[in-house]
Parts: sequence; C-alpha cells; structure tokens
Amino acid sequence: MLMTHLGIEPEFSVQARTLQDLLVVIDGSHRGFMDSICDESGKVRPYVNIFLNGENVSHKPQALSTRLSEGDEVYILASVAGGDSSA
Amino acid sequence: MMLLVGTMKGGFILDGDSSRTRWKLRGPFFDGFETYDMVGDNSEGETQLYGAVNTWTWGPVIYKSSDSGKSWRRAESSPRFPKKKGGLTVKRIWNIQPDGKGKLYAGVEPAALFVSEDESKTWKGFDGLNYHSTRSKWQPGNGGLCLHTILIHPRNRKKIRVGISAVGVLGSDDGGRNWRFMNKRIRADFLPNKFPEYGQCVHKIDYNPSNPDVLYLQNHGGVYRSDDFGERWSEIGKKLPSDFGFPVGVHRKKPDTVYIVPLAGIGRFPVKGKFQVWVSRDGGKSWEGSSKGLPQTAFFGVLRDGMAVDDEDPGGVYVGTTTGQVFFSRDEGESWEKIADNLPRVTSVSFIS
Repeated sequence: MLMTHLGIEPEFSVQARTLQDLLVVIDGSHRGFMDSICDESGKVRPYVNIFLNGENVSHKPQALSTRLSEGDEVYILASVAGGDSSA
Repeated sequence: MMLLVGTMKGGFILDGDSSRTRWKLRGPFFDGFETYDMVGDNSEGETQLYGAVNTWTWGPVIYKSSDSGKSWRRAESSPRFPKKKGGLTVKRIWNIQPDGKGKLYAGVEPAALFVSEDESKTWKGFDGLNYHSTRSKWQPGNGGLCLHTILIHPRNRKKIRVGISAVGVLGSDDGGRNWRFMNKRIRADFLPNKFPEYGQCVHKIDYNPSNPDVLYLQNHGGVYRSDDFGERWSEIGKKLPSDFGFPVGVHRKKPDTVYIVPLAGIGRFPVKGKFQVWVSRDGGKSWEGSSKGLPQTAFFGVLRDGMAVDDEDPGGVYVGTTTGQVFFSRDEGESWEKIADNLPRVTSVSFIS
C-alpha cells in the first residue's frame, strides 16, 4: 500500500543511526514520506506499523529514537483495518 | 463536461456529452480511500482537478490531475498545522476551493483554513482564524469540528467567508489576517441562548458568483439569506416542510433560484420518506417541491457537499445521495433523472465544464 501511495521501492538499504534518521533519509528521496508516516506532532500515525527485526515498535514511547545497528531490518506497513462502519 | 463525485470509497468522474444526455462513469480513484471533495479549476486555461483524500493510513492528502482525471498524483504537500505551534493535527480535508486566480484554499478538520499559491506544492495556514482567541470554546458538530465552506468574493478577493460546524460563519475583509463572527440572526436551536455570537451549526453556504453579496445558507435548523455578504441574515425557510438539511445550491445564471433538500428527524431522511428537492425562484420568498423523477420511497440522506449546479443553459442541478445515487435535473429543477447508481456513499458532487 505504501509503495502505491508514494511510488516507493519495496526494499532498499539505508544508512541511519535511529528510526527518525531513517525516515528523514527516505523523505529526502521520496517527498511526503515522513508526512505519511507521522502526523504534525511527530507521532507515528495510528494505522502505520514499524517493525524492527520483527518487533512492532511504532507506538512505543520515543519509538523514533530507537537506535539502529548495521544489518537491522525495518518493515513499514499499514495495519490491517477492516469493517469500516461507513462502508 | 465532468461531474466529479467524491465518495466514502474513492473518487469517480461522470463524463457527460455536450447535451448532458449520456453520462459515462470512471473510477474509483485514490485506491478507494474516503474522498470528501473533488473540484476542477480551469481558470488558468488548463483544467486542473483536485481531490481531498482522507486516507486512514497515511493521513489526509491532496491529489491532482492535469489530464482530466486519466491519471492522478499525490500533491507535493497537503495542508498541515505548523509543528512549532503544537497540539493540532489535520484529521480530514473537507473542502477545496480554487479562487479562480491561482490560489487554492482548503478547509480541514479540526477547523482551519489553508491556502496554496503553487498548485498544492506548499501550503500556508491562516493563523488569525486557525488560532482564533475563541478556539478553545469551539464545539464540533456530529461530523466533527470541520471547516466545510469557503467563499471568496470575486470582486474583492480580500473578503473571505467560511462556514464551520458548529461555530458558524466567520469572515475576513483583509485577505485572512483578521477574522470576526458573522452569525447575526442565525439560530442555534440546541443552545440556551438561541442567538449567540458563535456556536451555530452552519451546514453549507452558496452564492451566485455574478451576484456574490447575496448568500444562501442551510443551517442546522433554518434556511437563511444575506444581502451583504454575511453581515446580517434573514430567515427564508419557514414555508418549507423541514428547515433542516445539509446542501444548498444557487443557480449560476439566475441568482434568485435556490435549491435545498429538506430532511427530517434524527435519521436525516427525506420528509415522510419522499425525496424532494425544494426550489425557490424568487430568492427565498416562496418554495415549491420538485419530485418528478425522484424516488418517493426514500430513506437516504444528502450530505453538505452532495449538491452541485452547472453553468450550462438551461442550468443543471446534481444531487448525490448517501446510498450511492446521483440525480440530475437538466431543466433547472423541474424534473430529474438518475445518472449513476450503486456508488458508495456520496460525499460530494462538483461540476466542471
């Protein structure tokens, strides 16, 4: 879904010290990326999940300050959300 | 000519032939995300289309198309509150409004107004409104605290009027720096003080651009007319079967011809389950119901942006319903035909020639 929304590649490598850095680096090459992941307050949007090495860290306190190490795998995915009452 | 149709599951376009006899449906656009408004702007020669798309994942965004909707691209940026002010985050984009001179305005939830002067590459907020001294006392309507109506005076573009539920009408006469309430004589049935300075639940306002001082307003209880661009209002809906409703439309060539859809009850159904558009051809002095071609067993609603008028001759009127039909009158509201069915809940209709 994110690939369609932003025209982004499915998988690529980035050098970054923290998750925040990672979002900033990607935003530099894909305008609107940061805005799609976080709202104006800097919080990760409610239906966005960020997995670091398989663990969902997106809504932990200070999630974006999480430090990254070489070889870490980060997945950014839309959460499953069905059953909209307006449908 | 195109009728742009926003729905709860994406945007659609109805392409009409020159006689408005045949309509062909395209869409859905925007991956089926909630689309609260779609508009076209051909004032600069080339037609630019915009969509206000509220994705539940990636936030509310503006989409645009410069090839009549064949392809859409996410705009470079969308309205956002400044981070340094803190606290407010854009939840939905409700209304987008080109001013015909290169500016694009956007009204959002929570209630705020933004403008772009570069086709949605960058946006600037109107701090005088968005951080108004009374803001902490503003209350939402059932649909949210939304800025849903934007009117720019075509002969003096520094005069701006907006509608906010449930705050009322606010106006600026200096291009958006300073704002004041403009709710004189508009009722607030749901408050102890029925005529407060603000707190009215204005549902929609419209005007004829050739006669812009005359505004028509559908309120949460009451239909109103202003002859001085919102300074004072007069009630004109007492002869209607219900003075509750959401949309209001003004004929583009006959400024005294006004269309509304009376709804009744908590269910917001057509009165007695019979769908009628009510028409005044004398500026609100008298009204007549129009039902020829409309379903007379009907329990749907019509939302605040669910009505559009075109600038053809004779003038056309379009109404989209919450059960996915679009009805069209090619004879200024005398009779109706269905030009689309089985769409998702229609949130907006907008005509572009």
